[in-house]
Amino acid sequence: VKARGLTIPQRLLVASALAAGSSLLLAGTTLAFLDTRQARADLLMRRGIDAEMAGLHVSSALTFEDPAAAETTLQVLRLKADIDRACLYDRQDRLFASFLARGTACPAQAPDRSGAPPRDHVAVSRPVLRNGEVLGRLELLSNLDELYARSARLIGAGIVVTAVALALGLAVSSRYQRTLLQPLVGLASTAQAVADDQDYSRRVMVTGPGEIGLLVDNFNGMLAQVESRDRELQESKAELERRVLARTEALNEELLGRRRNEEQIRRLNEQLSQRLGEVTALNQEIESFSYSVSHDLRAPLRHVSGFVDLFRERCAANLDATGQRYLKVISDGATQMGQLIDDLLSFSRMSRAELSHVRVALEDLVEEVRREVERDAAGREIEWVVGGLPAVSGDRAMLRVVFVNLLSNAVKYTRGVERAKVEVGSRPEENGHCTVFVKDNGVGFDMKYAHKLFGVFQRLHRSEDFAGTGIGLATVRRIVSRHGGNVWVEAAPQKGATFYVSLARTEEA
Amino acid sequence: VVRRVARRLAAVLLAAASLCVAASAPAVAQQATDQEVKAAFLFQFTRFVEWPLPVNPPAEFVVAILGADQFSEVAARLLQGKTAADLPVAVRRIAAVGEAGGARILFVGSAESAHVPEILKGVEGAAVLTVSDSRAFAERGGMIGFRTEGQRVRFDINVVEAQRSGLRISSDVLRLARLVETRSVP
Repeated sequence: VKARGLTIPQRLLVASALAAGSSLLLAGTTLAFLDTRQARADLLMRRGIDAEMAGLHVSSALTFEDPAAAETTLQVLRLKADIDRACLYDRQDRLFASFLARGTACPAQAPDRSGAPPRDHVAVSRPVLRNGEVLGRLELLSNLDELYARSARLIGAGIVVTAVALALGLAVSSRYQRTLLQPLVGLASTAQAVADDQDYSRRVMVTGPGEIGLLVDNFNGMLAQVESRDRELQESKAELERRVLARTEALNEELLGRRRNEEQIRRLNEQLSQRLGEVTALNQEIESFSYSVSHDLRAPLRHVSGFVDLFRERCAANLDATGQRYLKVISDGATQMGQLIDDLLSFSRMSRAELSHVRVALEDLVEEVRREVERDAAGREIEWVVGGLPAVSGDRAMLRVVFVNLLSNAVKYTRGVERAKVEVGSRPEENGHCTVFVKDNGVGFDMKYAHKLFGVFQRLHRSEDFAGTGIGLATVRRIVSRHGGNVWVEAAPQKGATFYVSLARTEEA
Repeated sequence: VVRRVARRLAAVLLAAASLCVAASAPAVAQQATDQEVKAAFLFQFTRFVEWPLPVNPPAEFVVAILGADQFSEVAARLLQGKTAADLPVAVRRIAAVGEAGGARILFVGSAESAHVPEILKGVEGAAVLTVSDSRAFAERGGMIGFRTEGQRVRFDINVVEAQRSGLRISSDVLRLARLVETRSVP
């Protein structure tokens, strides 16, 4: 048990010793004081009586003037050990007779009444009377030795009693305290032990009387409560831990699954990029192949068309109408094939040529292209609505190809329309991209074929109706995509088509 | 009490003073004379002696003095106006013992020393305190006999004689006296 200063038993012992000692001392002192005072008063009274008695006995001696008889009578006072002297004076205050045990002799003349007795003495003075007549005066001087000795004895007895009472009280109280305080000490040590090791199953085994027993019982009850709560706490903690563990496992599993998925995605991405590389290489191969094929096809085709022309100049007169017609079919086929080869070469070039990035004012570009296209469509009435076009960053030559294709298509597919109208405009820019549209009121097409529109050699109309190689829009898409842009279309049969091109807006700076 | 004592003291002193003035010997004016002391003692004896109750209560406390004329004058002067046993004291000078009837005290002068036995016989059986300053009075059958010891007056007491007459003498006085018994005196 840790204790600051004294333990409780020691404190109680000290307190009880102090209380008992001080009260005993106080009582003893008071008793001694009162007793001494009473003894002094008693002494005074007794000596007063003695003086009167002696006075009675010496009255006759005084009467018959017999000092010797008076002194003999006064000798009786020697039996009183405390009487130092007795002085008998006659009516004229002259010393008549005296008795001297010790000390100084009586004065010859009766002393002044107010004279105080010597130190440590008391004096009594009584008139000597006979039948009411004053015959003289008897003075007794008593020392207080006996009184003081008695006081000393009393004080000694008081000290002894106090000491004995203290010893007895300490013995009794320490024995009593043991029964009283043992439970408290047990309580304190148990509380300390509980505080040290948190073991709430401990109990205070000793009990005591009255409130202490109650205290011990309550403490034990409290410990039991704490123990049960602690157990509940531990249980709920275990439950919580179990749940956290389960949840952690589930999360880990989920994480593992996610990692597996990510791994799969990564693998797929790898495969994809690998495939992409393969496809790109394949595409390049195809393009170089088609370029070289196209290039190589041109030479024989030039021969064909050149010799057909020569044949027509030299031998046209020799041919009948049927021959003439056959020759024209051959010539047209050669021309068409040449066109096809040109387009293919252009497409291929657009795919491979180096891109330049300059500021291109679309307003000027479109106007330039429009004039060119209009020249080709001479004799037709076409309403042009062009305006509000932005400037973009890109390759002017390639962008020119884009708008040549889009505008010539618009002119081409509005051929049968009575009032042809071609609109070129722009939408508000978004995310740094501006969108330019080319809208016509031509034949249009069904949107379910829209996905085919931008493929090479894909045509929605018969060649007999509309001339073309089916490469133009593929070239457009290739150029726009190389510019980081996008191209799409909205159309309906007989309701015209609108082509949208989104391009990066040029930085004005 | 103190005042009363003082007053009485003053009265006694006054009496003593007048007594001194009247004294024939101026040399002993300061000191009481032998006869005055004896007279005072005679009076004081009334305080220490109990007489049996008389059949007929007398009107006076009679002190008879026989054969001492000068002393009777002193005593008469000194005891005048005093009371004893609640009666006024009367001093009577008598010529013969036969006149002592009714007296409580009989003082016999030393002049009658030769006739002491006859005188004593005359009051035998009566409750009379017999006092004398004649020599060996108590031994000869008297009750109190004065004698002089140096400068002081002392007395002898014959208790047996006193008791025989029905008198009781206080032990306080007996302590001061020389106690004697009746015997033949040469």
